[in-house]
Amino acid sequence: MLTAGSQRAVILTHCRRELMQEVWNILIDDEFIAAYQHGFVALCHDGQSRRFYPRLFTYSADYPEK
Amino acid sequence: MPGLRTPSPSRSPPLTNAGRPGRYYRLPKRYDDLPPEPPAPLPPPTPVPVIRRVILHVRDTIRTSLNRFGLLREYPHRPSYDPDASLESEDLANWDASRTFEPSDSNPTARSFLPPWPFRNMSVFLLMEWLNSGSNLKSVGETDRLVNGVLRHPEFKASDFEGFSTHRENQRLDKADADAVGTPFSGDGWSTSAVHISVPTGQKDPTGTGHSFTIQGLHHRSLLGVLKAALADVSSKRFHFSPFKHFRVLSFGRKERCYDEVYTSDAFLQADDTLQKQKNELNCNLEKVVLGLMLWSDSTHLANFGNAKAWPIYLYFANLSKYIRAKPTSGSSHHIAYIPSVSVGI
Repeated sequence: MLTAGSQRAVILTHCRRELMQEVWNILIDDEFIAAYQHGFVALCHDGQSRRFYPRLFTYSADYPEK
Repeated sequence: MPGLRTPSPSRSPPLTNAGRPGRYYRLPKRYDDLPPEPPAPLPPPTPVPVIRRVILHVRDTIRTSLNRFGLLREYPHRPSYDPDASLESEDLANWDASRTFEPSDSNPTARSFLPPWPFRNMSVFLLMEWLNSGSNLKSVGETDRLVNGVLRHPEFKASDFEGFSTHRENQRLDKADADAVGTPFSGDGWSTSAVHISVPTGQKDPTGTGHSFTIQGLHHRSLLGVLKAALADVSSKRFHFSPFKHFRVLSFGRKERCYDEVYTSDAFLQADDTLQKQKNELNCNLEKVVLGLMLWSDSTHLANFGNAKAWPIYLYFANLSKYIRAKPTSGSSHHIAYIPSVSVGI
């Protein structure tokens, strides 16, 4: 589809960025969003149940540009 | 250095051969090796008067005493669980501070060279013989792991191994994995999806959406499934559910904030504070806990030669201490996705 031209690298970079965005769109599913807003209950190691609310603290990533 | 002790000043040093008073040599203070120490324990709970119909948010700020390094913890709320309370010295250092050296055999003539020799007892002898015979794939580290994690475990009983077969037990594990419904580890398996992206073609497109392009082969796991499985895993007993501030008390009484972990950071404390002020879910009085996620992704070369590449997304938990999280053998990294390569299709 793409010929070897000056736009090829630019378009590929665009594709990778789109891919990364779309992957996160798939990973952050409804189930996760519900857990983010309302928490989810899990039984802990000490025998007590707690309601956990996932929160994102760090995100370090790049999309391979080349 | 355990061998070198500071001498008491009252005793006069022994004389040298020349008749002059001898000298004590001691290492400079910077070579003093202080074994690491867990944080000071939480003070015992005091009965709090129950206040009904509270509108303001009551804080029972709690502060521990200092440990040897002058560090104290200050919790905005009393934590329901303190993972550091059960820290052993082997969790804090890879050198066992409480280790004692055995005296060497003082009477070499009476030594016997029968089986436990040169080891302490028959159990050690049998294990060492197993290690140094048969397949050479048994490493020293794995043997240590076997002894410390399995043989010395309080629930380990040799009599449980009546009619044991490794092959059969492996089959049992595989079967449990395959038809796991309702176990903590169901729902964190891998699934494969196709990703749709739109690519500009350079031609006029009145819809403005570009050319849709499908990339096959995204391998991913359900995020919530991974979270649930991680909380059921044994490493979660080291999770900090309550954030706290870490302070170091300087010699002249001034306090200095220590920023050492995610769960002692302002961001975590703020997230926890916001969550505690949030309304409880209907009919739920369970403790609300922030589960800190740390995501990381970079493309990785899998081989020194050739272009085998993978593009993973990893998940770590901020509730776990960085000293555990950063250990390659701690199993605290969870991979949640492998992203396919774009250039394959185009």
